[in-house]
Amino acid sequence: MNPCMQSFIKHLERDMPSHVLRIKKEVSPEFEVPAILQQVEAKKKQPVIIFEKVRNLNGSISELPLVINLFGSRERLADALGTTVSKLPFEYLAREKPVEPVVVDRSKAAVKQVVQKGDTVDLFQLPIVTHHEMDLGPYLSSPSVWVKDPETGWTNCAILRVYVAGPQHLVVNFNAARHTNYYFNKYKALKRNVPIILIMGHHPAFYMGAQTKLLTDEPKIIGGIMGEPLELTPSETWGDKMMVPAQAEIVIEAEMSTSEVEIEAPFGEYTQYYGGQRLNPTCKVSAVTRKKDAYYLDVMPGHADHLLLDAPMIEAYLFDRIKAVVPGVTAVHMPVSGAARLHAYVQVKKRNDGEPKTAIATALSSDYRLKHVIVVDEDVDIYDEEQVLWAVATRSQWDKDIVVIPGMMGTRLDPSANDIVTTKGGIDATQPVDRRTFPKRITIPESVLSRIKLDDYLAPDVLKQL
Amino acid sequence: MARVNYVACPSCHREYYIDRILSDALETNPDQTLKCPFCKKVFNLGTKTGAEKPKAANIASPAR
Repeated sequence: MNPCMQSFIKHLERDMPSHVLRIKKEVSPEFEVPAILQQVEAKKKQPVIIFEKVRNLNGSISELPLVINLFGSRERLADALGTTVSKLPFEYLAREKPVEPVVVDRSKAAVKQVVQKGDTVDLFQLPIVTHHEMDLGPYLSSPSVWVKDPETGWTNCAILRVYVAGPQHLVVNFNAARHTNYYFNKYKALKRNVPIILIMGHHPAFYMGAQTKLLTDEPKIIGGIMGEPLELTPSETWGDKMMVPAQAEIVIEAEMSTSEVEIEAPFGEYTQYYGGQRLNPTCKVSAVTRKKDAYYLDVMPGHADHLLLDAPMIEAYLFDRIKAVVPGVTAVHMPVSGAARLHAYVQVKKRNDGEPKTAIATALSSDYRLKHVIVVDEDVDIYDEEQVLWAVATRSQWDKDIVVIPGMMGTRLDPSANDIVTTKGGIDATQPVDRRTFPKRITIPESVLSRIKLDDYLAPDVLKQL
Repeated sequence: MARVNYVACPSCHREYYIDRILSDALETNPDQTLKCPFCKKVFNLGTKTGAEKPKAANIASPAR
C-alpha cells in the first residue's frame, strides 16, 4: 500500500516529534486556525499543527481533524524523499521519471471508505478555512486538481485555489494554471464540461511529484517521486475513465463548466498580497469520497507551507537549466524571503568571469516569476541569507556586476510589475576567478574548530538555553 | 506599478478591489454581479443602482 499523509505524520510523531503539535481546544476555521499558525511561526518554529477539534462550515465539530503546515519545513520535505535539505533538488531530479501506476480494487482503496454522491454531497461538513481578512470566503487551498487531456489521455496535476461557494458548488481559480488551461481549451472546443478530481491530503512525496514541470502524464511522475507505482482506483462519477489516488485522505469529483463563470476572490496569494476579485469557471460537485478516519489538509497561503512545496522543484528545474550552460553551478536556492519564486540564490564554482551573468540570464528566462538572481561563490552558504547579503556587500559593484533586463514576462501577482511585464535583474556577487587579486576571507583553523566541543566548556543546563 | 480597482460595497461600505480583467468586463456589462468579501452581499455597479463605479488606483499594495 502506498504511504499516505497519515503514515507520514505517524513517522514524524515517532521519529521527529518536535515537528508535530497537536491542539485539542476547539477552534474556528475562520481566521483562528491561521492566527494560531502565524503566532507559532512568530516563534521561528514550523511544526505540522493538527487541530483535533475544529468546527466545520455547518457550525458543528468536524469529524475530521485539520492538518496545516505539513509542507512548512524543508527538512520535512527532504525527509519525505529520504534525503537532506541540500540534496533535495538533486534527489527530486533523480526520481523525476515515469513509473506506471497500478490499479487497485476499491476494497483496497482507503479513499472509498466513505462515499457521498449526488444530493448527499455536503462540502460544509469539512472544516474549510477562511485564511485572510479580505478573502472572499472559505477556500480549499491544498487540492491537487487533476484534469485529463481529452486527446492524449494524459493527466495534468496542479495545485489550485478553489472557492467553496456552496455545499456542492465550487469556483476554481483557473487563470493561474498553464497546462490545465491548455486542456481546458480543448474541452471548450469540444463543447464539453471538464471532469476534474480534487485530491485533498496525501504523502508529501505525492504532492512534490504533482508539482512536476514536465508536460506528460503526471501520475506517472508522482510514482517516480514516491519511489513506487501510484495506486489508483476508479472514480465514482466516471469509473475507469477518471482514476483517483487510492490512499488519498479525501477526493472531490466535480465538473467544471467551459461556458459559465462566476465571482471568485479576493484571495491572499503567495506574494502576500491579495489577488483582486475576478471571474472563474463554476463547478458542480458530483461525489466526495474519503477515508473513514480522514484528516483534512489545509495549506496556509503566502506562508512557508505554501511557498516551500514548490521551491525544491523550481530549484531542481533551474539547476538543470543553468548546468547546461554553466557546468560549475553547485546549488540553487529559492528563499522564502522572495516568496520562493521571485528570488534565486545561485552558487557556482566558476571557471571564468562570464559565468555568473550567464547563469543570471539563463535563470531569469527559465521561470516567468523569477525576478532577482544573486550569484555567489562556493564558500557562501546560499541557505544563509546573511552570508548571501555579505557576499553582495563585499563582492559586487553597481557599475560592473549588475544585470538589468526591462520588459520581460513576469507574474501579475507581483504588485510592483506592470501587469504581466516586469524588469528583471541579477547581481554577480562572486570573487574574480584569479583569487590572487582578491583578499582572503577570515577563518579559524579547522583543526581547532573540529576539536572544540561546547559541552566541554558549558554546563548542560546552560547549553540547553542556547 | 500594479493597478487595482477599488469598489465599495453598497451594503457595508467597505472597499475591496477587483482585477483588471473584471474591471474591463464591467465597462461593457455594468450589471455583472460582484460579491463583497466582508459582508458577503452580492451587488452590482449597474446604472440602475446608481452605485459608485470602480475607482482605479496605482498602488504597490492594497490599503487596509
